[in-house]
Amino acid sequence: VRAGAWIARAAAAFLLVIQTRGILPDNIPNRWAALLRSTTVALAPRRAAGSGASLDRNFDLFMAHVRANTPEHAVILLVISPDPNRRASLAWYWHRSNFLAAPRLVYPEEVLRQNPARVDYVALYGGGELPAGVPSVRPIPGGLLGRAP
Amino acid sequence: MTGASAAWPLLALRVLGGEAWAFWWGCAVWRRARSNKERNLADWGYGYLLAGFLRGGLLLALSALGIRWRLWILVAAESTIFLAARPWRPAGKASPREGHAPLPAVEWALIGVISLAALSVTFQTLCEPLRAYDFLAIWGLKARTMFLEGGLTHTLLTAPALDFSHREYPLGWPLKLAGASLFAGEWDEQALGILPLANFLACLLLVLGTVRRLTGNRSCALFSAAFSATLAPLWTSAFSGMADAPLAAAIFASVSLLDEHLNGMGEAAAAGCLVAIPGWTKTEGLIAVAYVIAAALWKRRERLDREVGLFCLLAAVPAVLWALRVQLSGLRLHRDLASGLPDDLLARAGETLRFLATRVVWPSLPLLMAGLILVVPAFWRKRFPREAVFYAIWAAAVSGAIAMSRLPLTFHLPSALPRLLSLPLPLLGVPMAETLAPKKKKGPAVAGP
Repeated sequence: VRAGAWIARAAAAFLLVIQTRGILPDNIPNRWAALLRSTTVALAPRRAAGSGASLDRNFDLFMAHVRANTPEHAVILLVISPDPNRRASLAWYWHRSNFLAAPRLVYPEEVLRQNPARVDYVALYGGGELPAGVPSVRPIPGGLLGRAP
Repeated sequence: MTGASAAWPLLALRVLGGEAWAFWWGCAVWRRARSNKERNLADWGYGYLLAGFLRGGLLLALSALGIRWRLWILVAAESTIFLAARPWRPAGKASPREGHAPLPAVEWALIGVISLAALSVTFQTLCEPLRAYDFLAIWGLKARTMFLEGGLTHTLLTAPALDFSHREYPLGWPLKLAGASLFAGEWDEQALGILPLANFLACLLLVLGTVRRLTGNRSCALFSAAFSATLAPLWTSAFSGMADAPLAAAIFASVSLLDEHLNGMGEAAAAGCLVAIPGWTKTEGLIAVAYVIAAALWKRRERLDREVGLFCLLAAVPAVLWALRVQLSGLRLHRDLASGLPDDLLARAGETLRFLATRVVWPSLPLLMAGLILVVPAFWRKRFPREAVFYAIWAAAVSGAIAMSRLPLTFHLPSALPRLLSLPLPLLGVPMAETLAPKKKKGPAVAGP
C-alpha cells in the first residue's frame, strides 16, 4: 500500500510539473506593451489602430480593395487567415460578388475541387498562404488576391 | 460599433462590479436553497453560476414582455430575487471551522502553482481583446446584436449578417456577455475578458470545495485545483471568448451535483437550474444534462418523487424550449449535425480514431499514464467513479458526433476535438484526489475550508 501511495504521489507531481510548463504565456514583452498601450485608448480607436479587435475596419478596407481589383460580377472565395489563437486552423467564408450576401462556412479545398459556383478569384485576408494551386494575382492591403484555377 | 468612449479598464471595472453583484445575490439564493448548511467553497461557484443563469432568464423574460433592456430594470429584478432569498435571515447552523494549522510546504507549492496559473490566465486574457473567429462570428456577434438592439429581437433569428452565427446554438453565453455589457454601458471585447476569467475562478472554487467535501483533505483539494488550473489546452482556448470556460465550469458543477441530496423543493429547483446550464451554454453541454438526469433518475429509482421530477424538469426545460423555438421559427439553419449521415461514415470513423490515437493519445502518453495511475485506483477504493465514466461517455459522444457529421475532418478534428476533449478534464481531478487521499476514518464529516 505504501509503495502504491508513493507511486501515486510521484505521478501527481509529474503531472503537475508537465502541465505547469504549458501555462506560461509566450511573447510576454509584446503582450505587456499591448496591455499598456490599450489601457488608455477606447475601443473604437483601438480597432482603427490595428489591434486584435481591428477586424471591422481593416476588413472593410480589404474588401474595398478586393472589389476594386476584380470584375463586378466575379465570384470570389474569401479565405480568412489562420486564427491567431489556434495557429493551425483556418476559418473560411464564402461571399458572392457584392460581399453583402450572408456568409456561409465552406472549405476551400472542396469549393475549388467541385467549384459549383464557378469561383473566379480567391481573396486571402490577414496573411498565410493561398490554397494549393491558386496563383497569386497581387497583394492588396490586408491580404492577397489569387486567381482560381 | 457602439461609439465606445471610455478606456477599457474602466469598462472592465464596471463589468467586474456587475459580476460581483451577481456573485453576491447568487450566493444568497443558493445558500437559501440548500438544506445542507455546511460551509463550502463550492457554494460560491454554484452561486455565481446560478446567478448568471437566472440573469439570462430575466433578460429573456424582459424581451418576451417587449421591454427594452435597461440596467436599472435588470438590477431591480435581481434585487427582488435577492430580497426574496431573505439574506438577512441566518442561513442555518454553520459547521465549525477547522483550526488554522500551518500549511505544509507541499500545500504552499500547490498554492503557488494555482496562483501562477491564475496570473498567467489573467494576463493573457486582459492584454488583448477576445478575438477568436468563433467569438467574432458566433458568440460575440450574437451578444453584441442583443446588446445593441436592447433585447432578443427578430434580428437574431433573421438578419442575413448573422446567418453564420449558428442561430440554433444555445443563448446562455451570449446572454451573459450581453448582460455584462449592460453593466459596462458599452460593448468592449477587452473588458468582457472579465467573464471567462470569472468562470475560470468559479471552476476552481467548485473543484476546491467539492474535493474538500469528498476527501476531507486540504492538500488533495489543492492538488485537484492545481491540476484544473494548469489545463492549458482548456483555458487558453477558453479565453479567446468562446463558450468553453463557462461550459467547463458548468459541466463540473452539474456532474459534481450528483453527490448532493435533493432535500426539499427549493434545493431541487436550484440544483435543476444548475444542471441545465451546460445545455444552455453549448450544444455539447446536452451530453452532461442528459447524463445527470439519467443518473439522478437511476439513483432515486426506488423513490421517484416530486423533488426528482422538478429537478429533472428544470434541468431539461431551457434546452427543450430553445429547440422548440428554433424549430418553430421555420428558419433554414446551417446545422453541423442532424443533416443526415455521410456516405463515407466508416472511413470518417477510422480517420477520427486514427486522429485520436496519433494526435491526442500518443503525444500525451506520459500524462495519460500518470492520469491513469491516479484515476484507476479510485474505481474500487472509494465509490462509483462517475467522473471517469462521464468523461468516457463525453469523449465517445463528441468524437462520434464529429465523425457522423458532414464537416470536413481535416479542419474539424485538429481545431475542435482536442478542445472539446479538454472541457470535462477538471472532473478527473476528483478521482485523482481520492486516490491520493488517505483513507477516511469513520467519524463526523470534516468542514470545508
